Amino acid sequence: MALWSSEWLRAWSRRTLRVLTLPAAAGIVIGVAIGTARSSPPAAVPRPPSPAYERAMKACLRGEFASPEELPPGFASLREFCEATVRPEDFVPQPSQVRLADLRPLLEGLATVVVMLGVVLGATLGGADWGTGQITTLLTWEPRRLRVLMVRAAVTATTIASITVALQALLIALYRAGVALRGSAEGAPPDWLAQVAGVGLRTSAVAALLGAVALAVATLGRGTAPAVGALLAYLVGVEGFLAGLAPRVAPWLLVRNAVVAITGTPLVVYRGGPRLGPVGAEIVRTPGEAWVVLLLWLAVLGSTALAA
Amino acid sequence: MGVIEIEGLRKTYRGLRRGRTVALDGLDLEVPEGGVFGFLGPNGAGKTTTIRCLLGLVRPDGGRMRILGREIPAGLAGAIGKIGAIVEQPSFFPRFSARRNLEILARLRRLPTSAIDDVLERVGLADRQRDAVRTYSLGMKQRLGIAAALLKDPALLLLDEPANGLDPAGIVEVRELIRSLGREGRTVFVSSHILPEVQQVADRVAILSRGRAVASGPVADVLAGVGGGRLAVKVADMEAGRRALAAAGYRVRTDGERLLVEAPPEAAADVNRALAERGLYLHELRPEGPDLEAAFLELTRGEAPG
Repeated sequence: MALWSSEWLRAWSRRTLRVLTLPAAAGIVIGVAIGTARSSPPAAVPRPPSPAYERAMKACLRGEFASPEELPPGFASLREFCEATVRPEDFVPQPSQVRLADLRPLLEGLATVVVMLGVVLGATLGGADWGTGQITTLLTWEPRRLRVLMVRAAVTATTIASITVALQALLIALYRAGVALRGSAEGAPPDWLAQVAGVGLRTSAVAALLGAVALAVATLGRGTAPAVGALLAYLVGVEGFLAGLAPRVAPWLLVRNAVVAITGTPLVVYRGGPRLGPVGAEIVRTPGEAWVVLLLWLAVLGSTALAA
Repeated sequence: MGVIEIEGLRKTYRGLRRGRTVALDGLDLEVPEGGVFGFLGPNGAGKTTTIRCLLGLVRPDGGRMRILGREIPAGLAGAIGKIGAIVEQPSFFPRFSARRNLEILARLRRLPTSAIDDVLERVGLADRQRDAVRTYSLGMKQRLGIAAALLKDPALLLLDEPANGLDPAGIVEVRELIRSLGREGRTVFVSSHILPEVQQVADRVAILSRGRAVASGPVADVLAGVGGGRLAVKVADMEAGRRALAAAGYRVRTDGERLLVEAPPEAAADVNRALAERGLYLHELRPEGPDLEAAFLELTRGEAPG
């Protein structure tokens, strides 16, 4: 507990925490305020179908979307298929509006930023005292390195989780207030709160986990800058290249598994084609497996950092 | 039983660029309890490596170490609460205040805030405790390092070059502090290249050369081991004096406006007589005991002092 308390004080005394989180919180407040101010309530009267809708329907009825002989299962006629596929509401210009139904995709879209925040925080909390040489002073007080690094990883992960949960909770609360003031709750599922809370918590968990990975890399690289540089280059460059070059490795990549873990949607690859036979979807990574792979990454890098 | 006991300590660094560097080559050392122990040696002699091995910061290749009766590194966690240390430059978070840096350390041992007040007061940083460490001078950082080392109220202090970067006033302050710590019954193990400083505060010394202790013991014994001292002589006719003393069988050389005679203090009367017999009368005769610097250079001949 003494080591935890010391590491906690050290982490929360870092200026980086304030430098990164206060602008993020300000950005959320300003963004939602602007969105709410520009939001207009839904039109009271139904809008007439747009010309674009008419054009799409005609094209569909001419068989341009699906041939009448090869209709998907469940459709008896081309008209039935077209009425189900080309819906007038999809062609009604949407007013700028804060919609509760958009909150989940918004959170999923912001997950990348949240996870990168976790990576930067992890690298800076892990790398700072290598850069200053403070690690030597620390080890003259607590010489058990394993203990120091384990507690540091736990404090770092908890700190990142706390900050990212707080930021996402702020976004959810402000967004909900915006919906109540000038937006629309139409189309939102009844369990919207559970859904967005699930996305937020999963995002924070992934951010904490990748923050701990960044801490391990910072420990290996003996500094913050090498860790941030190496991780960003790897995540953005190397993984994209690897996924394109060797799709078989995709289920083992950090980014792919992070996406699966956050969205809860399995990673699917489509195999088949003219030479390979019928096209079929294959689930190559389930959300549960994705968490295991992320933990494996942490275990491997963490052990290497401890051994170095 | 010594506070620090080292037997046959060996450490070799292996690097791709610099190859194999033997830092410690079977070091034997015993530091008794209480007082100030000076640890001297040229650059690369292995002083810092010894301290790093004692603190578990590097893994030795062989040998045994005990601190405060505990085997190192196995028993280090049990002993560390009684050991205060500065290794090379004291390191702190530059954007944190001195107080916050010490608070972080104090929490590791659940020390009360009064302990922080005491050490800051003791090293003269109480007035600047709320300022960021990056605004401190080198000397202030050094004093903060000593404050951090004292925070645990340690029985043993390992100080690696504690006077590094200090101005003359700071050096005197640190000297007094080390002296007072030694008088309090603590054991202060000081590595330093400022030899006169060590000579003024140390009760015992060890001189390290190429990873081995070439001399160890009370300062007087170490000095006695490297020669019997010399006499500084001034006469009106320096050349005649030099010839007279050489004829009397003394090794003598001219050093500016004086002659340096290789002879112990008790030979002063014979030197005086040898000169007087030739009609040369003394203007000055002063015994000069061998100092630590001379001993150091003698024992580490061939290595650059550092």
